[in-house]
Amino acid sequence: MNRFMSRCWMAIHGWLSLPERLLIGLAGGGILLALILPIWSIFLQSQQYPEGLSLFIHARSLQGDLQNINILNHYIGMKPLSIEAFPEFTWMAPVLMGLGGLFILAALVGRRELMPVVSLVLLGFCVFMLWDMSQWLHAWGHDLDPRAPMTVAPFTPPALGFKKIANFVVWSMPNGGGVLIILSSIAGPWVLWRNFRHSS
Amino acid sequence: MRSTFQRSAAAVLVTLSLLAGGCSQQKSPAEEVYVKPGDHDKYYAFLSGGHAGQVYVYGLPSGRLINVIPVFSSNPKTGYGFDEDSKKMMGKYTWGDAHHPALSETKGSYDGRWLFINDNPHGRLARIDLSSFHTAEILGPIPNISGFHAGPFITPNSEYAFAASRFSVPMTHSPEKTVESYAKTFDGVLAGIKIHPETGKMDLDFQVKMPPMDFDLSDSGKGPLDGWTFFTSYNTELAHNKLEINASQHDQDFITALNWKAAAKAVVDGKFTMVNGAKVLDPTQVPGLVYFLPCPKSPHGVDVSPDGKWIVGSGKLSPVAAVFSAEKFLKAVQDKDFDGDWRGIPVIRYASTVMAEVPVGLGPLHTQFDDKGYAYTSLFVDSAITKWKLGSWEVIDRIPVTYNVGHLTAVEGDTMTPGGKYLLSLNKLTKDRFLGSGPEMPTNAQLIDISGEKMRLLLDFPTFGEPHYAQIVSADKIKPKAIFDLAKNNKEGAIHTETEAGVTRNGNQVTVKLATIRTHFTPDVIKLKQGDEVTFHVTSLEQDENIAHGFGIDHYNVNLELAPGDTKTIKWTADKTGIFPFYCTNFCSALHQEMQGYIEVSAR
Repeated sequence: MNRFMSRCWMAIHGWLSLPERLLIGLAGGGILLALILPIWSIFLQSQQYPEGLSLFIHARSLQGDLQNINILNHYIGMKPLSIEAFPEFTWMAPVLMGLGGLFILAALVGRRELMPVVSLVLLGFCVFMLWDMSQWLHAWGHDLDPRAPMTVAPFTPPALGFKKIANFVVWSMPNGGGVLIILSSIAGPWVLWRNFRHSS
Repeated sequence: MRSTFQRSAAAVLVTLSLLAGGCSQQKSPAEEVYVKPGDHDKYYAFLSGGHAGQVYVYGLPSGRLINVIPVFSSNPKTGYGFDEDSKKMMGKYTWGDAHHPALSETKGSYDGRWLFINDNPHGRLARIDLSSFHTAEILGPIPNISGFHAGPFITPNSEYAFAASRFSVPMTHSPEKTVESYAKTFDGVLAGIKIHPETGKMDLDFQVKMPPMDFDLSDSGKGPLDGWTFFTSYNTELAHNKLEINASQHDQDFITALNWKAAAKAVVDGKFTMVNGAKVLDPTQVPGLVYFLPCPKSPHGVDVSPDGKWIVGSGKLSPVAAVFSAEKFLKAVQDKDFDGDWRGIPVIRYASTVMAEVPVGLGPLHTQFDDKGYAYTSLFVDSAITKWKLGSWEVIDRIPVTYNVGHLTAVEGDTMTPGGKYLLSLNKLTKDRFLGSGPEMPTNAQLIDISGEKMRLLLDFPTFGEPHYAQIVSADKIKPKAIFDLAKNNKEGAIHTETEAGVTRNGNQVTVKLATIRTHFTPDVIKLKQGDEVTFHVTSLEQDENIAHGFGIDHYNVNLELAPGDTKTIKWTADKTGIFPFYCTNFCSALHQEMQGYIEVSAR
């Protein structure tokens, strides 16, 4: 047990090697790239939409077949999806910039002690965003206008994975930006794991 | 015992089917034309609708009717002829006789941008934009042209389309110009219509005053003949009555060869006189514009081969197709190898230009070409199509058609790059080919496989009006859009959001900007006063493929169809007090039946 603790201690102390610094810097760059790439996508498919309808969530905007999805949603009384409805679109971009900057700073400073800190901050952000999205999806699927032409049972679209809702199958999954953020969040733990294995 | 018998029977069957499979390299006609559900045809066929005034769009090889494009006739399905823009384009006419579709060309091949088609009785030329399949422009009535039959048959780079008069009339009328004075006072007219290379906009450029023959069909020269257009010209007898007898007396009539590049230059050089707004050239005063090429009796079609080496004239009252050499024709023009002149226009010596009189059969009308150097000539009287070889002039094959073929069209068969594969026989008569549907019958199109040595009938399908001619183009050349981009809609009265919709009034002039989107109109209650003159600008805010809305007003002759992102305008007078429902006439969604509104007209 003592030996394990000392290996942990050794793994998080000291200087990052040059390739490790580059990796952490790249992770920071990846987070910054998520500012321009779509982060998450929601994809709806049905018999009469074989080509599907797509919604792309960016750091600052919603893109894709927004109008058509809103037109379909209005039949069941769902509130229209818009950028204005979600405060996330005002603060997500600065937060991503901060996180990207944090990783680049950590790479420049080059201390392994910073790895648990930046990684936990980013992982915390990822978990929070997934929870945040789930609660919005829950809210949107449950806050249905009682005067809507079609009455459906309240539902929660998936934040990750797929679900059948009325005549649609809804898929939700990370897009380019999301994949980069997830990869960035495992860069720090991976560096620490390598150091842990090589310490003896 | 029984199982042995079964086994040997099965073995025989397997052997037979293997043999059959090994022998039949060719697909059966059914396999050849079958396009399975969800798959697309390989070719578009654009068929003129004749006196239906429309263009019919079919898919080949299936023969499925895909769409109808209204051109010279109104069509409530799309609202064409109901909205102000299309009404203005159609002018005072509610019908036309659509004849010869011509796809725009670049370097002698279809480029898929526009389809031109002429209107015989009212002397008009229409242009369909193939990005929307909408009629975009109608030119005319073109002055001085009576009976616009010979055209448009555009040039290899779509520089010009042509028109010519089938029914000669005097260009300017005066009492002494009686019908009996036809030969002396009537004028035949050829016209060159310039096509803008970017926008496709059409403008009458020049006219050429000709003796009063009947100009029938035309084709523009290709390759060595680029710069020339050829018109068949019957009634060299200059008969004005009982034409079936009086215009069928000469054993030879003419193909009129027009040097359109020279005509365009003569206009620039100011060698014209203005007649009824047209710049008219007199070929007796401007030499080098037109020449006559004698052609067997009453020529109907004239068709230039893909390489531009041969000009095929079909004398409909002779049993041969006369083939002229482009090289010899050009040499005769250059060397002035003339057999005198007729009414001041040089007549080229028949013997020095004709290469062959191909014995195709009775009643030859039109010729099309494939990619292997073969020509296909339609025979109205024989009710057949003859395949023959360019160069050796031998007749290869002949296929009967049901019944009485007029035009025929092969895949890209009038271009410099024919596609081969299929030929469509556009028959004039149908008789017993389909289920009876009353005495007014459809016409019958027959799809013929021309990929082998022998022609092979694959399919019959009905066509409407009278497909005088058609164009078959490879499907990958046509790229229609699925929606109009609402953001780029800058039509008069267009709106981009529902908040811009509403009613504005200036005295009794009322403007209604009406939004349509699933599944409601905005506004859906419109209050008017009797006598209001209302302009409806109806916009579809939809941007989803295939979601079209309609706008119809009960008890009024109003109907529009709106494609996603489009705006149409209609003028309407509130002449009666009362309540008038309006509704979406085009099924749009699950709540289509709820898409309605009321116009309330109260006394002033």
